[in-house]
Amino acid sequence: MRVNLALGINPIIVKELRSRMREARAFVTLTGVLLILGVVSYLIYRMVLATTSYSPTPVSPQIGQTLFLALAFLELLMVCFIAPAVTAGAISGEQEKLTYEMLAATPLRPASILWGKLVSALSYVFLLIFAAIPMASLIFIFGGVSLRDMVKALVILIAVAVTFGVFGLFMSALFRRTARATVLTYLIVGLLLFGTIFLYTALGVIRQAEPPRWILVPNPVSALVSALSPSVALEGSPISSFWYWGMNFGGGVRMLGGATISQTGIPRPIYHYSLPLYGGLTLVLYLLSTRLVRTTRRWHINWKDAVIVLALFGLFGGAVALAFTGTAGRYEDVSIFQAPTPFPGMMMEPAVAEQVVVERVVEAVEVIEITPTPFDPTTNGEIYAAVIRQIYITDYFSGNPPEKAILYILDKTDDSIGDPEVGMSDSQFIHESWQKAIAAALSDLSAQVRWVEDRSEVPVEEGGRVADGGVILVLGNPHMQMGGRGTLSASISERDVGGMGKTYIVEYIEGTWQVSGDTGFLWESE
Amino acid sequence: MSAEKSVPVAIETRGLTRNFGKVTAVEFLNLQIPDGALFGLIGPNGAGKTTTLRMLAGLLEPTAGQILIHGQLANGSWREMQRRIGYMPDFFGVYEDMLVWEYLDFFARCYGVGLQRRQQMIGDLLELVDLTEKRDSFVETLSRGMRQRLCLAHALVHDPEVLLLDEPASGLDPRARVEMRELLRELQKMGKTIVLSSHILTELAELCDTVGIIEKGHLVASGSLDEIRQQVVETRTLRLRVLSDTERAQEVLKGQRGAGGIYEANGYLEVEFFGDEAAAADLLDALVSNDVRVASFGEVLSDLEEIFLKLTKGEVA
Repeated sequence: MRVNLALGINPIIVKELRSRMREARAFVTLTGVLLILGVVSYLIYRMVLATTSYSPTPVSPQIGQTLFLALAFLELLMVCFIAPAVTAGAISGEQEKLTYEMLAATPLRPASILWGKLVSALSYVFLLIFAAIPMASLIFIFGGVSLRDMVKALVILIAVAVTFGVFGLFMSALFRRTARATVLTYLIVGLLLFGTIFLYTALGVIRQAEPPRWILVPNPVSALVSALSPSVALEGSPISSFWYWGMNFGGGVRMLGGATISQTGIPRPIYHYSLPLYGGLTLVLYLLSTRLVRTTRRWHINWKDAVIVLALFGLFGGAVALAFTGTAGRYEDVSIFQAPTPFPGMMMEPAVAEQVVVERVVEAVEVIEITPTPFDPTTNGEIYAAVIRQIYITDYFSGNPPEKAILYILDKTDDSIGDPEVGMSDSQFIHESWQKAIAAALSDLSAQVRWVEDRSEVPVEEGGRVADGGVILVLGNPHMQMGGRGTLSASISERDVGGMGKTYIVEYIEGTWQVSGDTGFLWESE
Repeated sequence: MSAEKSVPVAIETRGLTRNFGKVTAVEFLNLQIPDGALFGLIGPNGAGKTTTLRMLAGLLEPTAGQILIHGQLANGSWREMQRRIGYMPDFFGVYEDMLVWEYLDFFARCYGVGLQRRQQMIGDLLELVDLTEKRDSFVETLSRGMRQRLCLAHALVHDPEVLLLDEPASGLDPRARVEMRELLRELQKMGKTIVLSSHILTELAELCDTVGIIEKGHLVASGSLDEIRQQVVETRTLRLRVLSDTERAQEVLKGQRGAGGIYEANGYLEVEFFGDEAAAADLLDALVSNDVRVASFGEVLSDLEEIFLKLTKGEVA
């Protein structure tokens, strides 16, 4: 204790920082890192702008979220590779340069040497992290990200930096050769980053079931994504396309976060397990390292050391247990080793089993507040007629419908045939009076309209083709909004299965209902 | 412990032993190094010199035996001991990306030297090792000799009572050796007990007042060089020059107690002699009383290298 008071500050920290910060390399690295982050941010900003240029909804939060996720991810990768690099040579470097003996001959405790090395190495990594904060704050101009998310990301970055830093230090003390320590450290970091994802994916594919989530716990990327995923929109937004484009492992960002679908509650996010794992690992490796750096009495542990170690583990275990019980109410009581509760939807027959090819033409979809409107024979008859004309004449037969045909129209609506992102409501019966109104509006067509209760009523030739050149039409519910605008889905098929489906945008123009476009969604199958 | 030793003992080892696996590097070493001595530990490469010094510096744990520094048992309380010991290893690295003063400042901090004493001491030490001009140079620009002196200075930052120097002169050119030797004398004058090792006896002969010769982990001889010489060399050679009547002189010599073979070489007579100092005086007396005119009379000292070779048998090379 007397020694520490006299020293004031750990001499190793003074020495390391003096040497490191004198070199131009420290500043070149810092500049380079900030430059890369800046350029990537700008490119992503432009990318989001380009992909959302037709979107009527505000794009600003999307830009904010995408930038935030990209910056957090880049910083994480940087930390994963820089933290071990600055510590893997810390102890072995002294031994290789033959300076360790002289250090060991001073009254400086080996634990102080280790601590000094760790603090000085990590302070540089932290400098890299914190230097990016002002730039990351640009995100707040765009919005879409809360301060809480930013703090969460920062905590995970720092936890990963400390863990990987201590891991590098441990390898350095264990192998006493910088080259060997560095290679092995990177190998294990690589396994944690990519190996876990590969194993997770492989198990999922092989078992044809959701793989166990605990595999992802050691992965820092999973920890980061799971910490951010509730606040970040994942699918149907430019972010998911960014992730798909960046690292497509088949599951995208949801899979990386180990997100699981459960009907009974929210499962505990992966990072709730990752952080204690990192903490425990750091503690164990650091304590082992304090023994490894000793020159004498390396494994000679007196009762005082033992008590301190036990107290540390007790404190750590207690803190983790407290955190888990304190948040237990918020999450589903499922162990991470258990298979997640299956989603009931997965057991059911898909609504449209024939859908084989689903093509998304344009990502940006106009999402509007829609409510199914009560059926008004005159108006809705016109709307349905317009949509039937559009899908039957223009879209399906390209303007040349057959001379004589029968249109079999199901007398129950089904919204699942159209764009799932536009409103959905329950199937309803098309009343006979409405049926007549629709048929009347289509009376000028050469085709004959027949209402059927079920697909099985439609006469079919061999091979599944509808008899006499007929087609089957399925209609959705009209979803209207204020201002004479709405959507209506429809599907058409020449066979008892398959066909094509679309969701049309209908508008009241010059006194009549007309089809003005579609949502860009289209499914087709043979 | 004999009562006649009035000088306090700075370093004492009792049955000091160190094994590396099955190899015994140092075996039951008993050393007594008096306070203020310049003690040389001599032995061929691999004899156990470095192992001994590293154990004394607290860098290596003895397999068995005790180390006492100023009568205080060192085993187990090394942290405290290391504040009284300065150690310079045989192969050492320097932090090349540091300035010379920073280097000393760093080690001074490691030894817990306060800020004010540190600034004063760095200037003094740099002057002592003649590196004042290099104060603000990078360590990597220093020559081998300068680095050696800087490393010596680093071992002095906490003003230790005992200095352990492992091969301090190895790899130095003759001029640098002389400088190092003067530096060590200076330090001895300052009252420090210095233990240094070397595999070259002549290097230590002029410098050390006591030496210990170590081979295969055993201490084969210790004491001042004269004492060792007497222990080792049973035959002494007397050389005399007579002005005339060489045959008469040979006859007289043959009859004397302790005299052995007589040879004539380069106008000198050399006599193998087994007697003590009194016998030598008798021998000279006899010559003079027999009217042999003696121009010079003296003892041919054995070459140090010869002693060294005799002691160590050259088994470990």
